[in-house]
This record gives sequence, C-alpha cells and structure tokens, in this order.
Amino acid sequence: MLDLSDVSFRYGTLTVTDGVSLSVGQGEALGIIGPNGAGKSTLLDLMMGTKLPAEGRITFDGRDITRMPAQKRAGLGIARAFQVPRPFHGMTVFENVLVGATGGGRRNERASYDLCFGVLEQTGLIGHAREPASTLRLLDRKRLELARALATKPRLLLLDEVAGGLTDMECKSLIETIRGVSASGVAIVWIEHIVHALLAVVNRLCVIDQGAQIADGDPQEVIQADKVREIYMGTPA
Amino acid sequence: MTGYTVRRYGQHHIWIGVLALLSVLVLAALPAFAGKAALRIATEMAGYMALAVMWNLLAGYAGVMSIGQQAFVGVGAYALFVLCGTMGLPLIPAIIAAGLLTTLLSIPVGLILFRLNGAYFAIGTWVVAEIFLLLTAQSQTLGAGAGLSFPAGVAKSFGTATERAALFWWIALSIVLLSVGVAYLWLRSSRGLALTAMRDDAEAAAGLGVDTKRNRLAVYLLAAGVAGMVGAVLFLGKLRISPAAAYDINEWTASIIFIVVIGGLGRLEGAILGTLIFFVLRGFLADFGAWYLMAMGAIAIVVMLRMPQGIWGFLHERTGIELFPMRRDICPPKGRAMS
Ligand SMILES: Nc1ncnc2c1ncn2[C@@H]1O[C@H](COP(=O)(O)OP(=O)(O)OP(=O)(O)O)[C@@H](O)[C@H]1O
Ligand SMILES: [Mg+2]
Repeated sequence: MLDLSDVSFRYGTLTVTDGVSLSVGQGEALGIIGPNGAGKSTLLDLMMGTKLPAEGRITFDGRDITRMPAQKRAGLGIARAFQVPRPFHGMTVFENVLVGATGGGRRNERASYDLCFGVLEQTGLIGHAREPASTLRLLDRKRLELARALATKPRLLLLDEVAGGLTDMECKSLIETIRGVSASGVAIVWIEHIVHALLAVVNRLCVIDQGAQIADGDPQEVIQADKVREIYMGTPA
Repeated sequence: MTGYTVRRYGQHHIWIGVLALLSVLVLAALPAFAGKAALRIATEMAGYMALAVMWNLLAGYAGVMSIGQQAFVGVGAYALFVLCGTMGLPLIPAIIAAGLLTTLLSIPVGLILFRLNGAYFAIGTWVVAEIFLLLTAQSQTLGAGAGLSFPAGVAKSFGTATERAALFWWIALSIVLLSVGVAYLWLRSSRGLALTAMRDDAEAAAGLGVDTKRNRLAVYLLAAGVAGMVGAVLFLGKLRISPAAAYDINEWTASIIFIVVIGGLGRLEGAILGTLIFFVLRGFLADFGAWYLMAMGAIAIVVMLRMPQGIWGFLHERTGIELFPMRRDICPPKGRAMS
C-alpha cells in the first residue's frame, strides 16, 4: 500500500534518512525501532508529507505521492500521531477530534459527531471530552494524538512512541486499543522504544540506525539478529 | 449510536442575541440623536473595527502575518474616488466594486506572497503596499503625489453635510456588521474549527486534512475585500485622498495590530473590545501630541506582558464568557455523568 524507494532526507549536510526502501502492505502492522536520533520520526514525517524527501520516491496504492503535501495525504487515508503530543490547546478534547473527523472542516460537522464519540470511547477519553485539551495529563495527551488520528478514519496509521512514559497498566490498555485498530484492517507503522509493547502488536519489525535501515523482517528474527543486538541494545553479541 | 449529543447554544445565548439585536437597532438609529462630529467618529470606529476583525482572522487564526493591508485600503479608496467621483457610478455599487476589485487584486498578490515564509512574507506584504503607493503617486489620473479631492458636486448629491454623515455611517455600519457576521459564522462552522486548529498548530492541522494553503488564501481574499470597502468609505468621509494617507502603514496596520493585540489575538471579541479601547485612549491622549504614540506603545507592552491573550482572552479565561457562542457543549446519555 505504501512504498518508499531509496528515500533520503538531509538537514544541510547531515543525512537523517539515508536511502530507505520500505513497504507497508494492506492491513499490516510494522514496528520500527532504533536508537535515539536514528531518524525514526523523520521517516514518519516523510510518510505523512510533513517533510518532503531530497531523493527517492514514495507511492501510495501505486500512486506517486512523493511531493504531495500532508493535507492531501490525509485525504488519501494516512494519519499520524506525534511523538511529543501537539494538541490544539485552545480547543476542547472533543473539538480536537472533530478536526480530524470532519477531514479538516470539509465534511459535515453533525454527521461526524458519532464518529468522534466512538473514537473517544475507544481511546478512553470520553470522560474528558469537554475539557480544554491544554489541561490533559501526558497519558491523555498521547491518547488524544491517537484519537485525533483515528477520527480521520485512516487506512494507514503512523504512531510515534505513543506508549513512552506510561505505567504498565496504561501501556496494557493502549496495546489493546492499538491491537483493536489493527484487527479492524488498518495498516499501522509504529515507532516504539518499549519493545515488548511493540512485539505484542506488530507482525514485522524494521530497525533504523543512523538514518539507514539495517534489518527488516519477522519481529523475533530481527530482535535476535547480532547486528541488531549490537546496535540497538548496545551489547555485542 | 453512542447516545451523546452536542448543543451549540445555551439558555443565556438568547439574551445575548436579543442584546445584540437591540444594539444594532440603536446603532442604526444613531443619526437620530448624534451630531455630525459624533457620527464621523462612529464611522471611523466601524471601519477600524472591520479591519481589526479581519486582521485578527489573518494573524490570529490563519497565521498570515500581513503588515501590508494598507495596500488594499488604498486601492479601495482610490477606486471609489475614480468610480464614483470621476466616472459617476452610484455610491453603493461603487463601494461594492471597490471591495470586489481589491478581492480580485489580492488573488495574484496572495499567490505570489504565499510562496514566502515567516518574516519574508510579512516584509513582502509591506513591499507590495509600498509598490502600490509608488504606482499611485506616478499616476497623473490619480492626482500623483498630491492626490484627489472628491468632486463637490457629487458629494452634494448625497445630501447636506449632516445627511452625508448619516449615510456614510450606515455604510460603515453595514461593512462592520458584515465583517463580524461572516467572521462569526465562519469560525463557528467546522471550517472555522479547522482555522482555529491552524491557529494552534498549523502542521498538526495539515496532518488531519486541514487545507492550510486554501484557508490562508480564503482569509486573505476576504480581508482584502473588506479593507477595500473600508478604505472607500473612510476616505469618502474625508473627501480627500493622497497616496501618503491612503497607504499609511501607521494608520491602517500599526493601529490595527495595537487593537487586536490589546483586545486579544485569536478571539473574535478581542478585535471588537480592542477597537473600543483604542478609540477611548485616542480620545483622551490625542491632545498630547507625540506623547500619544509613546503612551499607546507603553500600554500595548504592558498588556502583552501581563495578559498575553489580550484583555478579552484574560476575561474569557477567568469567567468563560463568550459574546459569540462557538462552544460545543456535550450532553452525555441519560444516567452517564461527565467530568
Ligand atoms: N531541525 C533540525 N536540524 C538539524 N538536525 C535535526 C533537526 N531536527 C532533527 N535533527 C536531527 O535529525 C536526526 C533524526 O531525528 P529524529 O527525530 O528523526 O530521530 P528519532 O529516531 O525519532 O529519535 P528519538 O528516538 O529520540 O525520537 C537527529 O540526529 C536529530 O538531531
Ligand atoms: Mg522520534
């Protein structure tokens, strides 16, 4: 469904994404791991269109979207949750979700209400629906990132460290939510440092180091690979 | 079905509505009990308020930092002097034409300027206004640097000085009501919610499907149209126009920024409250010459430091009060409580 071929991105001379080729299939759940600063979030930016690549080609359903801006990709069914939550702080939680549900204000508002409430229930935020988004705790901000993205009814959901900083209980309920989304047929790309959370959901794992992809395949095999243990865990095999 | 519902109006909004209607009626009847001088000030106030509401949409919501709205004020004003003064078009059609002209003009200008980012965009808007000023000052038909006087004969055809003041006031009142009305309906709708999302975080908004470019351009066109009509009616009141006055950045941008910032950037009510405060201050301070500008500057700085969301933002945060209901109240299904 989403295909990146030889995609690179640079800040000046610093290559942050280095010739990455990656594809995500229909309904697949792909996990991405890698050390801090490896370029994982940048990869999501490139998939969403928040950043445009210096080189390479990106297609979605076979259609070239390499230079397509984020708002158009959202229309095609791509949505993302930011690593550091970025709620619309001047709005209520409900209105935050409504922005996604109306497709950025293009769809009828009333017809989108039930979708919003459904997503708020699904993500456990319904009790906070009336509150200003600026007053939410970290966990709820992360949930709001997820809820807002889900409200766009994505076919491909990009998640960036949505489990970071949560307690075990919170993490468990989040895993359940994401598993449910995945089971409903939505393709997922999930960046996460909490590997056990990731492994509970994904059916493929990809490792990024210094902007390049160094492993891609069955999660268990990838995790066991020497190269990965060395770079990611910092322990030579 | 989840059983939750959304309510857009509360009980007290009926009273706000009634109050608003009464105020409009009183304002429309102003010529019955206010003199020429008062009407002139009211006309000016209406013009500033319309500009402020638009600048608030631009800078406070769409993130369009224009410091060049005087470009459209000037073009609109000159358009009126030519269309109505020289060519004899009736007044109201001429004012509407001035607004249409500046809207049309803002399309190519906007498309070019929106290629610039951040500070470059702001400077770009100012450069465009300066170019318009230079072009106007070059034109003999437009009276070059000295400008034009509105033909006395045409002015007389609008009635006596008192009747004219009333007429211009009604026109200005219509423009400001139109501006506030359009801004309100827009902001209240889901498209307005998208605009508010852009105010808070344009990149995140784009990721959810908000067409940021299109929204920016739409706001820019509307603001240009309103600026054109405001320019037309305000210079009509003065009966004289010159390039320096028509494209004056102090008058048409600096004052407007002052109004929006002290009133509350990113709140519709802010622009309205700010205009009232601005005119009160100006009334008190105008006699002090150069001190007037310094005092205004000092006040703006104090407000920005103590109440970064402006005076209305400050009030709204403490009391939850809103003059223009935009909230979405959520009512849980029976037997379910909400925090
Ligand atoms: N604006 C910028 N200018 C220059 N370099 C930047 C900029 N933003 C990010 N970088 C660099 O790009 C690299 C990749 O950043 P990115 O956020 O994609 O990493 P990440 O893998 O998501 O890291 P983390 O696990 O900490 O979230 C980092 O080395 C970072 O320092
Ligand atoms: Mg990251």
